[in-house]
Amino acid sequence: MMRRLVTLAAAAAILLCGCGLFEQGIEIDDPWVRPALAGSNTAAYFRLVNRGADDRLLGAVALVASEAAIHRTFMDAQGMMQMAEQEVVEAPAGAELVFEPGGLHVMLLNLSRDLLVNERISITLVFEKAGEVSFDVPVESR
Amino acid sequence: MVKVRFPLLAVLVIVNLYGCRAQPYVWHGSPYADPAPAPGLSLSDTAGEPFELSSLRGSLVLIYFGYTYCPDVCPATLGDVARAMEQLGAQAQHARLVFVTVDPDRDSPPVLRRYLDAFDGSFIGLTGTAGDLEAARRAYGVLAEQEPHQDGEAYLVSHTARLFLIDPDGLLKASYPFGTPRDELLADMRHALEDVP
Repeated sequence: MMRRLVTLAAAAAILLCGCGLFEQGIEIDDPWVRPALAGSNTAAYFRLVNRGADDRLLGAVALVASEAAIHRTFMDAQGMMQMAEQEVVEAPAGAELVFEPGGLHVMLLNLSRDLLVNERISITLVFEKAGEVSFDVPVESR
Repeated sequence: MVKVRFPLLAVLVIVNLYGCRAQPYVWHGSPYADPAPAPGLSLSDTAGEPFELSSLRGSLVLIYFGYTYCPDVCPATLGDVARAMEQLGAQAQHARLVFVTVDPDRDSPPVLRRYLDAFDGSFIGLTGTAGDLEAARRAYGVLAEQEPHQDGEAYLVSHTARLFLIDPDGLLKASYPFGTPRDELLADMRHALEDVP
């Protein structure tokens, strides 16, 4: 009985750790990054649900880029599309944040290599409470 | 005077036929009220050759002002157009996307060509002097502004991100804001290509 429980617990732990999409209460759904050439820029998108306590997203890291930063695209009063760096993105408990083209995105600058469709990269989001949350992001042409 | 046997029926048929005549096409984009010949662009392409908009007469032309350093809006828009071109199938040979840079300092012809080829080898890239590019933007009502950045080379450019549709007769027919659904753009492109064999 004990052995069975330990096996089940181990299996659950492995499943949850290997998943990579649910860490410290942060759930990441449907991540994808646009293909791009080495030396150029691209953006990663996903849906983030905070199933933990109130938190704040402070930044992002991606080894495949010289720089990763959270930006929000918006249209200004003159109809121009602009991007504003987001130093902090509030992520209250239960909140769903959608990172999508034309909105919030993780900007990846100066890619160290070509990102080709069907490859995967790793992105780490840095939260004030949850700390570092890493997940795989497939390269997709959508 | 011809005597109509069933005058009421005749009236109803005529009214019905009148109502059933072809309705004008409803553009999904913002149609221009009085379509006029599209403004020319005194710019050069990625091969360094002078570009003439009139050389694309007979084709549908989409014009977009953007820059290659742009990580979100421009790739999204060019991706949408590339997908729409794929959906056009054989008719895509009569459709052209013209990308006019708002960032000539970084978007040299080779940079433009490499960037556009990643979307669709048929996409045309244009650049020119600051003055000529400014004139092109003004002609289409496009604004662009370089945003200050501490790293001189890493600046962003805010810009009007509309797509402009020119029909095969060279008339500027409609424009589309960023985020226009692909199927709406495709429907308008198909309509514009209706009379092209």
